[in-house]
Amino acid sequence: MTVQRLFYSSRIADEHASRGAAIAREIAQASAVRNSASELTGTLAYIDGHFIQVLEGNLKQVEETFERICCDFRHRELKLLDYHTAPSRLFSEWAMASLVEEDATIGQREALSEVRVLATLNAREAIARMRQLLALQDRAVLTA
Amino acid sequence: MLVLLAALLCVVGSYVSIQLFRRTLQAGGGSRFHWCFLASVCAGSSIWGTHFIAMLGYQPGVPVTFDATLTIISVVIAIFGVGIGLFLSTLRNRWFGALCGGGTIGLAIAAMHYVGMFAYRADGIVGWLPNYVALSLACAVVFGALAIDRLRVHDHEGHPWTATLLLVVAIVMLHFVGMAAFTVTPIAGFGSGPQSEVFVAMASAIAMAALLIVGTGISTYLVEMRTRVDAQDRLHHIAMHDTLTGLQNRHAFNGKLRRLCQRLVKGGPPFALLMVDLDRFKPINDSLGHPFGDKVLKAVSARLQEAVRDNDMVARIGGDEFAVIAPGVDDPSVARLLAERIVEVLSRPFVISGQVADLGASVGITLAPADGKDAETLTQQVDIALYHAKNEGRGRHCFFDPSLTETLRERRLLEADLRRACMREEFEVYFQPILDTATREFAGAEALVRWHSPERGVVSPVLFIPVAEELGLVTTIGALVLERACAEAATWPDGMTVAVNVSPVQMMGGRLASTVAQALHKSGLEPGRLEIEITETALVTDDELALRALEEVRALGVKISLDDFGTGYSSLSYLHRFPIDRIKIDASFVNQVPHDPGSASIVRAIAQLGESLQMEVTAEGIETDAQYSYVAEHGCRHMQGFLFSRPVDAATLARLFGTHEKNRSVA
Ligand SMILES: Cc1cc2nc3c(=O)[nH]c(=O)nc-3n(C[C@H](O)[C@H](O)[C@H](O)COP(=O)(O)O)c2cc1C
Repeated sequence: MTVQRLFYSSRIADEHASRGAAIAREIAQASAVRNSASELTGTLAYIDGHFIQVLEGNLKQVEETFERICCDFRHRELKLLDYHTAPSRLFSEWAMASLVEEDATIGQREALSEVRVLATLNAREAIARMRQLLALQDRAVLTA
Repeated sequence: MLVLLAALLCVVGSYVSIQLFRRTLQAGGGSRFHWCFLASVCAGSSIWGTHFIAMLGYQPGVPVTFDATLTIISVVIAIFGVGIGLFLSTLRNRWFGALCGGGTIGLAIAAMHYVGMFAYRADGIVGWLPNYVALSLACAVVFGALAIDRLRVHDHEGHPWTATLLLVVAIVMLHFVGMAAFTVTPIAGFGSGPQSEVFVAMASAIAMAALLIVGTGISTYLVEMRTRVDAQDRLHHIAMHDTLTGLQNRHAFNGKLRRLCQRLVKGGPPFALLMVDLDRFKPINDSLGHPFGDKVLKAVSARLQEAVRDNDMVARIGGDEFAVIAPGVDDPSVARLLAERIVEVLSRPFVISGQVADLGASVGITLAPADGKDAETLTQQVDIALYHAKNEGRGRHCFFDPSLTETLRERRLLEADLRRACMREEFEVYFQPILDTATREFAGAEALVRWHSPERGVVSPVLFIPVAEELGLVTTIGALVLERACAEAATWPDGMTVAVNVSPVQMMGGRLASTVAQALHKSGLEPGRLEIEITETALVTDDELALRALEEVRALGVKISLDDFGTGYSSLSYLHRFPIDRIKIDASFVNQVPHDPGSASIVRAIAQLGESLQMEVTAEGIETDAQYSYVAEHGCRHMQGFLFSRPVDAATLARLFGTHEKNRSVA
């Protein structure tokens, strides 16, 4: 079963910028609930006032959810970076993992800034890095 | 007890009858007959029931019986009488209709009453007082007529209570006055009858039957009204809404705008009017198909509704044009916020059925009453504002401002002049010679269009070509230039080529190849001596269509060159995909060589590219000897620019080509 994978970036709306990290966590949490119902997976990063999100699932669900995201005024300057068909999910364990800069270790932060730069230049690579970060994070939690 | 029952039947019966009378008067054609039948059965039986129950309750103090035949006849009289009266009520003349119709109904009530009284057999001496009889008739006619008149002038939705009351009065008056005319004197020896219990039972049965009939009448009426209202609502909805998006349509929008403007005159609330135009809808609709375009429009509508406030109105008023009315807005900053949200939400990508469309929108804004107070003015102003938003580069909003009107007026004049120019063929073809650096001789010329306007003088193509493209005139102008350029080139020495610019609009029009073929045929010019110059923008909008058009032209033996090379998108990929014979380095780079290292390296790179892809390279805009030497040194074979010659008219060019070759001073 192939999946559709969608990748975009956006900037938090000015009026929400002061509590951006909190909003990002809220969105990731609420999205995880909604996404499990529609069999969507992915991750939401929040770095330096910018959202970077991967959404994967079947075409209908991805597009419907993305359309809702496009109606959301909590963010601005939404740019679609990649939309492609992939052989399988990359984020099958996460209905919507959150990678919030404020919650990250120094090492992760650096990796996150790199993701932000990579996102516009090489979308696939940026997605792969986000996946790596999540894997490392999980291992850290397990060994802690 | 029986009097109460009679009163109840009288009121309920009159209420329903009036309702049905009204429906009869409104109905047309065949259904009027059916309504009339239902109304007269209902009214006749309730009036009769009222009378009969009242009579059962009447205690003359003597034994009483009823004559069955006459009683039944009295019912029939009531029903038919009312029926005839109702038909007469529909007469066009107001007084005639009321008097004949209502009067007949009154008389029917009276006739029913008196026939009913003949059926009433009291065992005593029965007497009649003629004055009262006359009075009762008069009352019935007058109140009947008044009831019908009230009903006819009643023109709003509510129940016609006055008419109902008048009908009740007609029935009641007739009964009481009529009973006052009736006297019974008991005959000694006959005791009063003990029938009261039987009478109550009978009265109840009649009341039941009458109420059932009345009930049937009202429920028929209600069922019919419900379906009628539903149908009306549905029709209204269809008339006021856009079927594709479910938004309100232009009709609804105009209505709302007019109502708000009317209220404005009476000190009503201010409002903002926004006009939204999608920026890149047409090419998307054309290249990805109408079903896809429809889905995009649906998504656009949904986003618009998300962007506006709850009680703002969003309407679709054209293919890709929407309007928003925001009541209560008089603060420009609130209107700006709304416009920004709209521009923002429509600038986001549309991902539909696995495909991605980037649209964007422009928004015009005008504020009422600050900018204008009537619908016409406001619509014009908002159009002007929208027009400016689009001209300023799209994807933005623009408020109406009186100074915009002047700019627009000038533009309209230009459009009108240009239309006229196309009819009068006010265009002239000029030529700029192209030099071959290898032979140091002219190799041909590029044809350029000029507009000699009697009103404006010479107008530069930079000014009028974009307008001509928008108006769709560029195809006509392009064909004209092509034809004249070919005709002219046919007179030049052998081997001299002519290059003709083709606008993207012309190229995508689907008739380029046939236009070219026709120009070649008419002039007899060898196809290999004609070059079509296209720009990169033509290739990005729809590459399938572009490819097809170019291949058709190439099949004629005509060459294709890519103009303004280096200024557009990722130019390289086009060179591989499209059948291109020549690239022309844009003058903006050539102007900067040799002193600007960036431009110099670009020129070098393009020249190398040409060599490796086996394409010819022409440098445009050569103005100095230094530029000439640099460009020539780096492998550009052909050049054009002021250094050799400005664009000249055909006669001058012919002279240049005929005489020049040996004595050019350049190089
Ligand atoms: C950056 C960002 C990412 C979001 N990601 C998701 C998501 O993955 N899944 C989801 O259902 N909603 C997501 N949302 C929330 C939606 O935009 C929307 O608010 C939510 O689905 C509720 O929509 P509704 O109010 O129309 O029901 C996201 C919002 C933002 C700003």
